[in-house]
Amino acid sequence: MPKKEAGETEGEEPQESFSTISRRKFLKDAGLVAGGASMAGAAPIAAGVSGQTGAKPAAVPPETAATGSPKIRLTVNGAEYDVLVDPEESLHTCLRERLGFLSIKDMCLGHGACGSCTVIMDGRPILSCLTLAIECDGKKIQTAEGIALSKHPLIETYIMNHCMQCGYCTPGFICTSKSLLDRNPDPAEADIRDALAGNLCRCATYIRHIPAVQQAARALKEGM
Amino acid sequence: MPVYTTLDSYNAIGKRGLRKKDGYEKASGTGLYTRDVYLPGMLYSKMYLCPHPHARIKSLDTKAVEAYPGVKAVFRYDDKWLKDNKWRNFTMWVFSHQTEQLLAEEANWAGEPAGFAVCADTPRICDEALKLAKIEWEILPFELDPEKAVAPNAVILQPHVDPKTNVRHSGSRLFEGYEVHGDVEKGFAESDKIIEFRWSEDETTVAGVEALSCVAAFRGEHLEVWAHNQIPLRTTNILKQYFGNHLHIHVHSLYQGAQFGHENWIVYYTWFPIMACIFAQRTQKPVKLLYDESYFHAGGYEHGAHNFKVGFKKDGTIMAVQDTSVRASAEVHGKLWEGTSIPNLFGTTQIPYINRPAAINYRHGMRSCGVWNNVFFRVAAETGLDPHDVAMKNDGCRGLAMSWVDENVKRPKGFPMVNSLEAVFKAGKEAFGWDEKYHAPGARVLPNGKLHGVGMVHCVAWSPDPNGYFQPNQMGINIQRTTPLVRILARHADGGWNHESTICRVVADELGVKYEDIEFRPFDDTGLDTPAGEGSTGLVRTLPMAIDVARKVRALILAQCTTPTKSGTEPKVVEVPAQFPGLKPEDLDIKEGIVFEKARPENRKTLQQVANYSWQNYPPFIAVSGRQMYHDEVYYMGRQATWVEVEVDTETGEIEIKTVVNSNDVGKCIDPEGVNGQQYGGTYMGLSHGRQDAKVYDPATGVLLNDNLVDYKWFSFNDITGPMNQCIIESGLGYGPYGAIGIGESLGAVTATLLAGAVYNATGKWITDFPITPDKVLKALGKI
Repeated sequence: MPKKEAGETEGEEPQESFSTISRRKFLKDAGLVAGGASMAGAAPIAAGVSGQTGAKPAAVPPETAATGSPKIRLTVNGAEYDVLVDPEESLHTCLRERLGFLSIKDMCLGHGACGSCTVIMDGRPILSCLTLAIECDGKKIQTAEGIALSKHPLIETYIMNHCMQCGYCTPGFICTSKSLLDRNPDPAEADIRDALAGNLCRCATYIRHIPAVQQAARALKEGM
Repeated sequence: MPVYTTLDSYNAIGKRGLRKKDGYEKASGTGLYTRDVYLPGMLYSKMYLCPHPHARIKSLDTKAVEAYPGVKAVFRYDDKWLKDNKWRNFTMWVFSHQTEQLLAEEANWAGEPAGFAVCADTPRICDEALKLAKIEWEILPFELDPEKAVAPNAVILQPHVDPKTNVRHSGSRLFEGYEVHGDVEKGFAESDKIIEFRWSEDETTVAGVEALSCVAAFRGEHLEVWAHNQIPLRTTNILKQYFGNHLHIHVHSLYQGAQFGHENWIVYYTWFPIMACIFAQRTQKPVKLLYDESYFHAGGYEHGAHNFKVGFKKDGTIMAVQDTSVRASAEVHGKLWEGTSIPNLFGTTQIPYINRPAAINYRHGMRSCGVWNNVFFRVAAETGLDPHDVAMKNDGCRGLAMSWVDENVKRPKGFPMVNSLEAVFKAGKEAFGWDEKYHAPGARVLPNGKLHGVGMVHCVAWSPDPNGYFQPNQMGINIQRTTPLVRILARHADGGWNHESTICRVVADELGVKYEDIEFRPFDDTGLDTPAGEGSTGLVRTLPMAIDVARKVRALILAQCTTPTKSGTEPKVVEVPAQFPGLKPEDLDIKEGIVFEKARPENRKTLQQVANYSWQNYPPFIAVSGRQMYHDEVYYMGRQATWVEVEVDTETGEIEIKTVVNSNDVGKCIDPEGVNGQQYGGTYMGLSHGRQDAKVYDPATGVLLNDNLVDYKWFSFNDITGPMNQCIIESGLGYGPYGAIGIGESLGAVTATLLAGAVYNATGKWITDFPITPDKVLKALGKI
């Protein structure tokens, strides 16, 4: 299993972790190098991206962890990350802004009301905005990016059933639905409604998620 | 000949099961939104928000803010930049009561960005620094209620504008807010019965999704901006105005967390990016401006109250409608005029200053449709007629009967001789089972003790004005020598309508290529714009251009295939034969990306072979179009209707929404799944407005109390518990391409007031103070 440090860039000498340096040092260094993003290095940056073309998940931590902050180990989509986090830091901030998993959205801005920040942690869908990062040491996490990379049939059934319009909430739905299928390989409509009741979609694509989840369930049964 | 473009056959157009072009990025979370843009060395910016509903700055001390570690710049309301750039307050188009400002000195609503903004290393430092300013406010009187603001004894809120009244006047017809057709007094005199009633709606908001942000970066003589809005071209133009024409300004428009229309956000296309650019210019760093509170402080519906007077005959013929209203934004009574034979209409609106955020509407708004719904269902209730019969009786355009429209519009202009409302009703009523479910008001109690009710609303299906709009509308198509075969060139804001896929469908059929072989990445500033959000139902405006440019490229290809050329330079010039020698363009056809001779289909080349043939001698296949549609006179002949079944709990006052059926005439269906998406999506949003969406203010302080998604709860999955069915009617009665009619706005708007009729049918009580919350139901039932 590949292991990555937040602050380590593949193919390069490990650099000092972004999270371990002080704000003063960061500010000093920021003037000398391209910026915090290249120091963070946990994922490619979106620097210079022109529109969407060539864009990659960005990891530019806007917050620096204080010196002496606790270090946690997360397994995200199969890869291990050691990362320093602030004690009050949410898992949402850690995953999105330190590690660059931008599928994790934040519609309700941290109120735990919308489900757009849902990730799967040790098999259960959780709201990452209401989960403290330091409580997640040693946890295995899956995000929509990872579900897509695993070729899970949900991605294709969501596309073909038009389960997204603006798409901002869709990764959260994907995580909740995937978790449902992990627990229940043959969900009825009521099961799907109950599972997805906490995910908000302002475009209101709700009813299309029913056939999408059921088609994915069939595909999984058929070994697709 | 029809007034619109047609094709002999349709392949990608109207076909189900095509893969959404934006689907993978959105499902996998790999698509980028403005909030997802992070640049090396990027700073962050936030604005101070006024805590009072109406207050003027007496003094502002930002020394502590400026000295706070990590703060890089502070921008104040009294900054010299504002004077140097002759900043003027930006009026929120013509519809709204409010004037927006770049960091107000006098704030007009609680939460308005005011006084100063800060730029710092992190968002957290911004938050901490914003608290350090010392601001002394002069507290001014405030008013939240439009009706109270126009009362004779009202406190004057903007005495420097008008010392006598809060009613705003601009001199424009819309602002004065009247609409007159025929003679209402004559209509009332000819009526068998006249009824009067009141209808009102509370302020709502689009609430949530992707809170506003903007990223700006100066790179030498280039200014690069990532803007969250529907009209990036307008952002470009405004930035040029304030930062100079010498700059090369590139505005990128990434995926957009739902906005549902540009009007409410128009101010954010102007000063919001300006703020990010000012900081980026001063710090020489990329800056991301964050406005987390935006979706609750802005982006709201209009709110207000109407007083109706309706005169009608016993047979359901409506003779006159009068509507006097007081609102926070303009009432447009046009829907009644555009889509009925009612000969006499009078509508007037007062728009006063109040101390709420600028509110216009999104997804069109409930306003015109609320008027429509109330009139028809009320008359049906008063006459004892079925609402469908009342609707059919009064169907028409511009006060004229549909029989007149048949002979004077449809027939001479080549429209199909079909009746849209009849077709819409036939499909929808049957799918809903109206005849079995409709009953006298309050007459059906269910075994679970709840009251059963059904409601129906119909309206014109609108593409408000298919003619050209405010901004240039341009698109290019390029045939590639590699894959993808066809690339569409245009910047186009993606608001979730799946316009990209729809445009690709049209180009595929017009050009003769496979849908899968077309790429449309609409995010970049290509110098060509298809401003999706520039006006309502933008696709009807955009598609004529896609058709035109596809046909131009097709003509280029066929001409080149049949024309010899020369290669090399003097003296070594050789003749290059045509790819299809001896043939004329009309001898060839293109299908599925293959150019072939009609008489001898085996004589064929792929488009890629054609594009690569002697490529050094031929220009690339590329064409650009700015064609838009123009019609001298537009009659709205398409119709739509929605049916709902509810159960009303007489103990709790709760309304459970069961079956919903939509029946929509879209003229010509180009993207069936996209149409369905607007049908059920709009219905969820509309019914949410009808039942529960409302901003709640503290009347004592004027502060918004439910500015988050916990306290402001819009519909989730199980707020509609029963089946939802969608019927699509294709009458060809639209002025758009192939006879298409827009659908993006109409469902959310029309269904918002649908519950009034359904609750009346269930309880026998009219509740027309929206949203219809449980307390209002219980009050109507005499329970509280």
